[in-house]
Amino acid sequence: MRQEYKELPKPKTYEGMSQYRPPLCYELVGKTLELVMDDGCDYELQFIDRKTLKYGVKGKKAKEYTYDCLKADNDTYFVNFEVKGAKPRAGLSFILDMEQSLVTQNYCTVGQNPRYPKMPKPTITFGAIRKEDGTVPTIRHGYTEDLVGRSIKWSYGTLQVVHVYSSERYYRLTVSKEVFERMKAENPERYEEMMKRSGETLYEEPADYIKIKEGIYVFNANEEMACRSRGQGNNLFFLMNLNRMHDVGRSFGHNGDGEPENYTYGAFGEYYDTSELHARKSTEYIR
Amino acid sequence: MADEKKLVPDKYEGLSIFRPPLSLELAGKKFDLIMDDGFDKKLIFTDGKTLLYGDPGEEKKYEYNCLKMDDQCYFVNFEARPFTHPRLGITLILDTREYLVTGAFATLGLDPKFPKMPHVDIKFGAIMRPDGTVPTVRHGYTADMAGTSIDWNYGSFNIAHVYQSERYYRVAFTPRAIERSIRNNPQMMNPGGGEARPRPTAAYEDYMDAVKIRDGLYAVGLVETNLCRRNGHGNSLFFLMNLREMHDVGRSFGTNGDNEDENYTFGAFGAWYDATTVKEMPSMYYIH
Repeated sequence: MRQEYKELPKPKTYEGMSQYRPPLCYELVGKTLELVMDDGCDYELQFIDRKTLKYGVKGKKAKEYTYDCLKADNDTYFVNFEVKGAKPRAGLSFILDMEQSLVTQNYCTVGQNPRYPKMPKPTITFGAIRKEDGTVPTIRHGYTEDLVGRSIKWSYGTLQVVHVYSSERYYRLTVSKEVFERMKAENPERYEEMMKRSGETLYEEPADYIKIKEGIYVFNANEEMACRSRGQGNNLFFLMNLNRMHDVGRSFGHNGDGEPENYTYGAFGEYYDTSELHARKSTEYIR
Repeated sequence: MADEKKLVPDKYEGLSIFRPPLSLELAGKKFDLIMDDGFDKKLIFTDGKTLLYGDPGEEKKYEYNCLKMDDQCYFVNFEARPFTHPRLGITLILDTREYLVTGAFATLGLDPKFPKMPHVDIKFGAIMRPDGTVPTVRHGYTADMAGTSIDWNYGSFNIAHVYQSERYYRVAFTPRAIERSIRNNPQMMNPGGGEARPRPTAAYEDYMDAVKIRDGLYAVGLVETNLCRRNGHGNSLFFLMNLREMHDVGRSFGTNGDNEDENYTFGAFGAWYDATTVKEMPSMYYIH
């Protein structure tokens, strides 16, 4: 008997690889947090229900946004939403570290660069969450060198990439030997082109590495070189749990069809040897 | 007997009396700066004191200081006078050999909680060549400085900058620095008339940017955010260092001890310094 396939309904917004992410987390529902940020402003973040939060400057009228929350570790959450109505377009992501009452925020815009309208611009701000007793910690999540020299092969479901943490301010990108072999067999022309290009230029992008706690890190990558070469690049913001070798994150920018995207995802990782790539000299930056 | 004359500058100049002589080499030169944020700028050095800077066709006039750090490499600093609020200080490293530019754009007055907290944006870009082309390579953030420490002599005082990592610096005081400070201010040793101050167990640490301009030449930005949280004011310090010759030039942007606005250039001579003790101290401010 011939089996009939039904087409899955198309989501209202582009969701990229989000089908492979872990289930959304609802532990913050009902909670209200006061974020004391180092830019000198205090904000209120209220999780109304599983889908909606309210966010705004403390004491002023807050707006409602649709959010995703993912849990990366005990008491450590990744919260992401599109700031509807912002000009230029903006996405806001928070790492909420309830264990230490600390927060790290990425306010990312796109549309602010007149030469490259699809170039994202992340702004990272550190801060603290006011404790129930009214106090605020003075320590902050901090940039780290812990990851420099390492590489991790991440499996995002349909996509496998190797992130090469080449310094405290940059990352490099490659794929595993198996992926190269498969590409060579399936599409030799593309493989040859890729080999030629990677011999001439080294793909390297600006990055930030932030330590949240032991084994828990933020990796922020901005696809600027990609944007300059193909007109579109994304801001990738990850919360990695290297104790369990998995991450959650989001991609903010535009997809291959030029449509806006801002979706969350997750991946499993394993350490990978990219000594050759680590040893290569940068072709894009004097450093 | 003649009246004693006092040299009083018409604006706060901090340590600038110890800087090297200003460079006039760029007077008469024009540059098209192609910046990576997508906003190109025109830079015209009208003479040795004034320049025009801004969007093409909308340039504004500024007084500037230019200091030469290496062959075809200049440190240019300017800000609108009288100071505007919020303030914007612009510092450009012009590398006319490689046709590259790195800019430090410092603001003050944007933080509602700490109005004297400086904020700095580093922007990279290129200088258009005479043939109309623009290089694709850029000055880049570097790991070269991480783990090193230099004792800088600014004329009237010494301080060791400890480049703890690519993103943070610490400060250390050499025996000579302590001796000079105490000579200038004996209260430092014994503020209450009692026992000497105990040695600190944690280091002052704050944010840093280190950018490689060419071999041996680095732009380094330090901000005093934790000092500002503690004392109500802190500065942005931005240096261009020539580590082949162990000297630097730079500028301090922010406010001085009397709460007056400051933006002045200076220079220093350096010596490598072993700051192992300070490097090994735990961080008071950040989870690394």
